[in-house]
Amino acid sequence: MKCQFCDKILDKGDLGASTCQGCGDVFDQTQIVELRDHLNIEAYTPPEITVPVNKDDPLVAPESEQCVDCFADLMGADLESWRSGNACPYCGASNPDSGASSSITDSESSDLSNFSDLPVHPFIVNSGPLMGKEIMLSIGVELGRRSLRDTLQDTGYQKLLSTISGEHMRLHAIEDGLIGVEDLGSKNGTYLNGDRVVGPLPRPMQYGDALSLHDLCLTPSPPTSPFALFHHQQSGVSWKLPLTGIKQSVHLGRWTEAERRTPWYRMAQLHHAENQNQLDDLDAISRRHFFVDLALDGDGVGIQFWHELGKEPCDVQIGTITAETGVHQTSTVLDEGVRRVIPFGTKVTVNMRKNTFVILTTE
Amino acid sequence: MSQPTLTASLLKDVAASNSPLKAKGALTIVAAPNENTLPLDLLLVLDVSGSMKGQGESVLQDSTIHILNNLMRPEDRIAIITFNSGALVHTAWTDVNGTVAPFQASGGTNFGSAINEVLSFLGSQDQQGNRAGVALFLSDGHGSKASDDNVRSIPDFGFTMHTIGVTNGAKPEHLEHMAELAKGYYYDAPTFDDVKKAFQSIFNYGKTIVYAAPDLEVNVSDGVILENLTQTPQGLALANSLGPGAHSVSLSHMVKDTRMEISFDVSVDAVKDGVNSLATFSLQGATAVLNVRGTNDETELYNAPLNTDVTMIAHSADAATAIKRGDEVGATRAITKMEKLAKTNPNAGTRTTILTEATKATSVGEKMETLGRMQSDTSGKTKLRND
Repeated sequence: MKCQFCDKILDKGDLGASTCQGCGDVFDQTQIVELRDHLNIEAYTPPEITVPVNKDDPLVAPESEQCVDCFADLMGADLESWRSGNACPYCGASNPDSGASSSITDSESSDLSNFSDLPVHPFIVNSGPLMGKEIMLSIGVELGRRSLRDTLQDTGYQKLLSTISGEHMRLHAIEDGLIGVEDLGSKNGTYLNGDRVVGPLPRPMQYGDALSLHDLCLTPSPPTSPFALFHHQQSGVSWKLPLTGIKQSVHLGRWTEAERRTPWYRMAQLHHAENQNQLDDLDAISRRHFFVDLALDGDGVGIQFWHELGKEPCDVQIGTITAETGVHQTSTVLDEGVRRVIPFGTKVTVNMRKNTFVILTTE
Repeated sequence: MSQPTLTASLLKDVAASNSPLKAKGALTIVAAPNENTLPLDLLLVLDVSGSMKGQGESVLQDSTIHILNNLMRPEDRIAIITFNSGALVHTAWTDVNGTVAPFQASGGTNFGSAINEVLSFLGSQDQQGNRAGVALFLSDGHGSKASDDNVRSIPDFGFTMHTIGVTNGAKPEHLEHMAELAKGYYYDAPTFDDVKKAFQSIFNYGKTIVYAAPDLEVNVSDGVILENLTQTPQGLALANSLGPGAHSVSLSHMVKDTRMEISFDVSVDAVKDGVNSLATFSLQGATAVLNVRGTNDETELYNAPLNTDVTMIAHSADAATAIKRGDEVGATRAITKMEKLAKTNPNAGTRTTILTEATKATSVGEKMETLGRMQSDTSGKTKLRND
């Protein structure tokens, strides 16, 4: 294989520099792939990341309440006695809720009343019945079973919440508007994109990252608008992309160019962890599959689809655009490389092999 | 004074050990955001040859009055040199309250005399580093060529020189060449309105200068050569070849809220194991070191990522240089590469669009002007200066 400009026979030295060492011509990605193939050099394959799957039953924290005075955790017979109106067996303080029909939720919720003035950060729920909804979590305080129970007011979360420690994690506001998470020694751990969060230094997160408190999965969402909401129908995973005038590319394949799995994919894998058929469906998407470019444009959003250049062929099946007006347009108008400006609120459905993404833009 | 931010990078930050290397590199310079803009010294160099008689004279007169009445700030100064077969200082430095005598057009057109008078005039003044000097060379016709070396030495006085072609008969290549040598830009102004726009543009540009024609100090290591130093996105040639040792390279004025980019080719005799310092760049007290790490690990070598910013700067230097020399094939080739790059570097997309616009311009003058008006903001996004 020769350089197309100086006829130098290209070798490993040229590939290593990604530049013809004869004339200095810089290779583009297609030329690099061709030269790599020509020289029979295997493309680097990053090691598959094993997504942690909690095979064991979670440790369920015993039901407890804290004494309002000495903060002792009251369990078992002590708890029963405390709830029936007796004093704390350790400090003798009386139960302020005695006589009332005390429930864990009520008493724990009352502890949250002073949280209202704290700074908060929005998160999208990616587990359970409220999947796709946005919740606000306080920054700088211990968050755990009780505060999340107050926020996730749906009985469908009882089992999920039982695996979360009373003081599970703390959110930190760190520089540049980022949010960080610190695990407070929780029993079942705090995971960020599949990696366990350890140590006292908060791990920075951004929108799209998967924050898992055992089986409860959340993703930080930015407090800005307008945004595009991406929803993967098979797993229910959702995440937001804040829209600006600058074009942003969203990867709908199995890995990003930076050779990291995309956050939505990690979250979807977590949801499908126990069902091999669903995992197979998810893996039907190619690694370098598909990209969506989005940017604010006038009164709407400019949108364009494309696939990454590479030797692995793409098998992209674009579905339909169904505008809120009921206008049904065929896929031909959204062929790859064709940019369109769609009004806010237009639902874009992308069918990709056995997976479906819905993209909804909101002003 | 705050320091600018300098960043020097190679296309790939690793290279094969014990082997020679040819690679593209780039230096980016961003002034500190709180840097103050400088007062402006505007030196008009006006063609008053016989062909300017009549309408041309009134264009010069009206334009000068327009500058004094509408464009100059109290802290700015103006001086005027007129030339035909010879050249003279028509008006020495004066402020906004100064008066300018009428112009009398006659005789031939001698660019050489004009440039000699510019150098003589600037040489007789105390150089003031805290002022931004801008010379504006305005001509309507074909002049006898000035010495390249003389034109090239104008920035030594802290001045850059822009050129304006004022009629359809002007030779843009010639005027553009002079502008490039003097680190300035070419303006195409076939009508009086265009001349006024060009003056407006010069002032808009002049009022945002933070470093007046600064010198970039380059220290090249043994066994290393830097070649084809080109300022992008304008495609301004800065130096052909810098071998081992210390060098000083004159840059054009540095403008507020922009990123100055310099593309270059690097040749290394033999990359050593570990970190190799190839060159050091210094400007206004800030320094950047161009490094490459030598390795024998083929997997690392073949899979090290390309620096997409360096790639964009290299391709845009190739494209702008090709456009300037009328090489359409070369320009298209470089622009096509940038188009592909736009998939991974959104900044390349905007630059591709503007460079394509430059290639499609109908006249050489328009092409040159489009290139001259290109600038990169501090994040590397390209835009046309809004004059």
